[in-house]
This record gives sequence, C-alpha cells and structure tokens, in this order.
Amino acid sequence: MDEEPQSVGELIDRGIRIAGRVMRRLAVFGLALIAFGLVLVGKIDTRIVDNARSAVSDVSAPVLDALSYPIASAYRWFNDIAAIGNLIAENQRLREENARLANLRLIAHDLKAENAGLRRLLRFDPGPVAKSVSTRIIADTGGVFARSLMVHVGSTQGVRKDLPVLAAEGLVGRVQTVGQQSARVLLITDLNSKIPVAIGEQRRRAIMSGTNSHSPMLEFFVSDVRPTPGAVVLTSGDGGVFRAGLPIGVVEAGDGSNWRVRPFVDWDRLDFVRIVDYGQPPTIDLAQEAR
Amino acid sequence: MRQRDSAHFAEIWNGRLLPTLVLTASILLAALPTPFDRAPLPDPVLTAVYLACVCRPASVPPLLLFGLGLLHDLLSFTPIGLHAFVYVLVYALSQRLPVDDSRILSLWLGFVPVVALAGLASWFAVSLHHLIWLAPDPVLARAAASFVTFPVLAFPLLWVLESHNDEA
Repeated sequence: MDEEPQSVGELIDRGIRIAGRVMRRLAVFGLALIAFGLVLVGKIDTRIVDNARSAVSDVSAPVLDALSYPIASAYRWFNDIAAIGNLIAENQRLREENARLANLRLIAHDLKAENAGLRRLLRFDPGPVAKSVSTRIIADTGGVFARSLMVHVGSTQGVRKDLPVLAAEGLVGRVQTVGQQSARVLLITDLNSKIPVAIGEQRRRAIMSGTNSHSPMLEFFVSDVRPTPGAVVLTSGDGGVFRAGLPIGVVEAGDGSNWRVRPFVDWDRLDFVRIVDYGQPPTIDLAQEAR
Repeated sequence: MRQRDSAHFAEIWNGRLLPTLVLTASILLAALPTPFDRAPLPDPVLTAVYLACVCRPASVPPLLLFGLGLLHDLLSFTPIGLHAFVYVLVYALSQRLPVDDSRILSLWLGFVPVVALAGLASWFAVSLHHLIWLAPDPVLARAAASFVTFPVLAFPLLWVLESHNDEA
C-alpha cells in the first residue's frame, strides 16, 4: 500500500508512476491487439509478406545450413549403427527384391520399345526436357499450424514459384516463396495445399486437401464412384500447376465419406528433395494441324 | 577510457543483448529439421520466452517480444502476427504469476498456465485465420510435450540467462 502523499510534488510523482503503469499495460494490450489483427488480415496482401519471408529466408539460410549439418550427420550415424543389427534380414530382403526387379526389367524393356513405336506413330511431342536441382533440407519451418520446409537453393539456381518438389518416392510439395539463395516448400500435407488428383486406373478426378496431419484428405469427387483403398493417387495436371502423373500416395480406407491419402514420402527420413522444372506444356498449333 | 568502454559493453550485453540472442537462437534452433516428424515436439521458443519474461522481465520488453514473434512468423509459414500475439500474451501473464525464479519446480508449475494460454490463443487465432475450427489434438500434444520437457530445456536456458543477470 502506498503512503499518502505529503506534498504537491509527491502527488505529481505518484500520478506519473500510476500513469506510467497504465501506459505500459495499455502498450502490452495494444501490441497484442495489433498482432491479433495482423493474424486476421494476414491473408489480404500476401505479396508483401512473401517478400519479407524471402528476405528472412535468404539471411537465415546460411546459418540454418551450417547448423543442420551436424544434426543430419548424427541421425545418419545413428541409423547406420541401428542397421548393423538387421544386416542379414536386409540382405535377404534385397536378394528377393533383386530377383523381382530382374523380372520387371525384361517387361520394362518390352514396354519401352512398344512405347517408342507408339510415340513415333502418333508423332507424340514429349515437351521440353525437365531441368532439376537437388538440394538438402535445411529447415523444417512448419510446426503444428503449418507444414513447410526450407531449402538452400533459390532464384539464382533457377528455382521459380509453384515448381513441384519431389523426393525419390513421390511428390513432397511445391515452391511457395523464392529468395535469391533460398526457397520455401509448401508440403502436400499443409492446410493451404489443394491439389487436383487422379485416382486409380480409371483416373477419377478429385481434390486432395492438406489437413496439417500426415494424411491429406480427398474431397470434391467428380464422379459418384468412390475410390477403393489402395488405389494409387497421382497429380491430374488440372489447373496447370503440377504436371500430370506425379506420384503422391495411396488411398487409405476411410470411415464413410472421409477418404484420406497415405503419401509415398516417408516424412521422418526426408533429407533431400529435387525441385523439377518441366518447362511450359507444349501448345498445339491447330492452324498448322489443319493444314 | 578502455575500462569504461568494456564496462559499457558488458552492461549492454547483460541487459538486452544476451536475452535477445538467446531468444533469436532458440527461434533458429527450433526451425532445424528433426527426424521425428510423427512425434509431438516441444516448443523450445515458448520455454525460452517464458523464462526470459520471469527471470529478466526488464530485458525483454513487450516490443522486443513482438518483433521476435514477427521474425518467428516470417521464418515459419505461420500467419503473420501469430507468434507476436502469443509472446506478448506470455509476457502479460508471466508478470502476474507468483513464481519463484530460483526454484525449478516453481518455474515448472508456473509454466502450466503459460503453455495452456499459448496453445489456446494460437489455436483460436489460426482457426480464425483459416475460418475453420482446426483439430486441437496437435496443439494439446505439443503443449504436453513442452510441459514434460520443460526441465530439460530450462536448465541450459536458465544457466545462460542467469549467468550475467544484473536484474536479480
């Protein structure tokens, strides 16, 4: 409890102290309010935010690159040591897989020759040769509310916005923002990710939406026929962002109307990704075709 | 003259620079990729912000936390303002907590309302941003992981923050 002021000076001092306390509380309240307002209006002009994100990425990329090396190395050593115990079982599995693949190689040779013949027959234009750049993931910049990665390649290496990002197993996501030396990848599991997909051999169209979980959701089916669990999900190419046929995952058994996709990519083992530029899709010169 | 300069630098270092560097480093370290994508991971930045607010409140004014929150938002893909909002709230709450900053158990118990408020506020703000109610499970899992791992993260952070604490 403060003592009663004895003079006008003490009264003024006390008033200034109280005003200071009130101002500090108001400042905290005001900052919280501004921050909350930014969250709500953050969707309005994303270009300013994207530019700011790219600038921060470019500055932090060398630091994150240097810091992520020891972690990646430690994890690789840990995995190598753990794998020693499974060497015999792993060897047996690889022998069986090798025998299976030798069989498949013969089939692939036949199909390749047949495919080349059909392409010649149809005068098929495969479009420009894809260019790609492989890179190590330097930061997992997502968290609970977002699923994203940062890589240490940017516009200097030819990376552009919306280019597909692939792992050995399948589609990882697409480039969301690009700096000079860094880029952010929006994962297919992010809430903001919506990808037109083709499901199964019938290529039934749907939209795959990220849910921030490990299994994106299938929705907006074009036909009434629902997918069967285990059907392969590929990009459909609709919308023009992704080229058709990029592997994504398989359909998981859903409960009623809730269909999910189990991605091919093993998120726990994702160290490297490949950013692929397929170039612009070939355009058909109808006038020339008519002639 | 040189003595006065070094004393002045030490004053700045112990005052604002050290806590700011600790918080910035925790933001960068939290962004590093981990091989445990499926496991709920703790939030080391929240722990660092809470400890800085409790142990060195004068060194981490709300405006600094606001700026660091924006930096965190820019580094991650979270909506702009989210972390700034959470860190300013953590500052406001931690100033009202009856916590003894010399006892780890007291700090740990004081972290319960902080982690709960941070989880609830961020879940509510992001849900409003996306205009859908997000599943609360990942937020709860992260809050639980942050609470459980608090002592592990708190010991090194306290050691750094308290090593040159002139506020004590």
